[in-house]
Amino acid sequence: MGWYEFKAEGLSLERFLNQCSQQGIRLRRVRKQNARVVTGSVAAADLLALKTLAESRGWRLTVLGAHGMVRVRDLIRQRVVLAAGALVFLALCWGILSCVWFIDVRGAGPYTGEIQRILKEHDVRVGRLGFLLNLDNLKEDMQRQLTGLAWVGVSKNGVRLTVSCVQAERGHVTERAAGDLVAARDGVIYAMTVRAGTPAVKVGDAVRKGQVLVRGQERAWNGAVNAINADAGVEARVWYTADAMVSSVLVESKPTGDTYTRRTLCTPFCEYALEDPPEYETFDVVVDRLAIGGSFPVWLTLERYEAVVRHEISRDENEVREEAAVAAYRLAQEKIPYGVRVVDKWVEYSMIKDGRVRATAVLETIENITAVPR
Amino acid sequence: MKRKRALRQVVQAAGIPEDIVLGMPRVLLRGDSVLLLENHRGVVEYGPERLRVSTALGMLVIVGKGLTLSTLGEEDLMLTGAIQSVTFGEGGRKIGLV
Repeated sequence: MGWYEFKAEGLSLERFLNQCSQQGIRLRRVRKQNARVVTGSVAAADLLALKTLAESRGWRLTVLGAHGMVRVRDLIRQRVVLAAGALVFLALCWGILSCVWFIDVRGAGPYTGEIQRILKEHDVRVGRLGFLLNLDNLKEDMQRQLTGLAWVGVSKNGVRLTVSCVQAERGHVTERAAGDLVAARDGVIYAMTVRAGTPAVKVGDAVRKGQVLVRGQERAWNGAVNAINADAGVEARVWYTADAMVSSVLVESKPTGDTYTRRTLCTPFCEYALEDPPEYETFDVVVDRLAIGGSFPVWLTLERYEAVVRHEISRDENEVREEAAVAAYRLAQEKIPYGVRVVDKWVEYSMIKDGRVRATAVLETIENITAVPR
Repeated sequence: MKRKRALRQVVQAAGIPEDIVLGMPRVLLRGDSVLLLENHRGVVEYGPERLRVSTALGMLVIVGKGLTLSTLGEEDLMLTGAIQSVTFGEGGRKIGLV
């Protein structure tokens, strides 16, 4: 807390020092001025004990000065009015800094007047103590009353109260309204739930891709048409088709036993055939490449020809149809969006003149086809 | 006296610190400006040029210039100033000489 400087006078000052240390009084900076005078300092807490000791044993003790917090305390005691004034000043500073001196309203646009009215209702004014304001309550009230604002924030930073607003976006009334919902694909309306907007189609209607399903408009009680963003769930029956063709003839190759190997020397820039191609009418060929240039890009191509005779074998018609149907279903399923429920499916067959069978698979789904036009 | 001497020999033989068991003075000299003394038994004489302190080994005499008792406690003291010599006894053993 602090310490006092003292001066002790008398005879046998060494005895005085020993008495102090024996009584637990810790002396500091003890300096002997002459044979009868010693100065030093002592902690504020030990001053009373030191005075008592000095008085009882006949030494004269004089306090020369105070230091640290003790000095401050003594100064305050000597200057009560000054201390009281300082306290009042601090209280005033605290009070002034606790008040709201600036009120900012940002982003409110046409709602600024309404916000001022709500602030007045809540007795929020310049000079009001900040800790008396219920900002949460004020914010909730603004959000409840001002439906045209998407977000309201009320914050107090120092002596400044800020009301920040974000206005709700309105739909646009144009030829092709941005607030409309359109069909994402062709289909027949199966069910629809309109939460906002005016429906342009009804259940059972066949719609084309891009057709407006729900208009982003609502008629007010006075006949005025307000633009809004349409919100609806429109489920439609949608059909996905896919074709697959499978040949009804199977070609079988039978080797005749004649073989021929043709070598060709190749580089990245040119090729040189060492043999002519064979004169087989029908053949199978296997090609190998051998790197022969070491570090250089030169390789030898070996074409092994095998003469064959081809026979056409007719396949069972049911087997061909089944194979085509499986392929067509697989292709059709790849077109269906993930998570969509298939409610029906069938396949139609047709024969093409060159002996191939065409299978057309049709998958019927029920799915939400609403989309926002771009 | 004999008993004390015997006890000291036992303590020395056992390797036990004498300052703890027998209250022997512990003197720490930091350069020639600060002296820390523990286990003293009181100041006998103090002046700016000479300090005599009673210890278990007898009188400890510190001679110097501008000597100040920076701290004076019941068992320890700190002396600052220009220390010139530290001796035991009036003219006895010298344990330090600056």
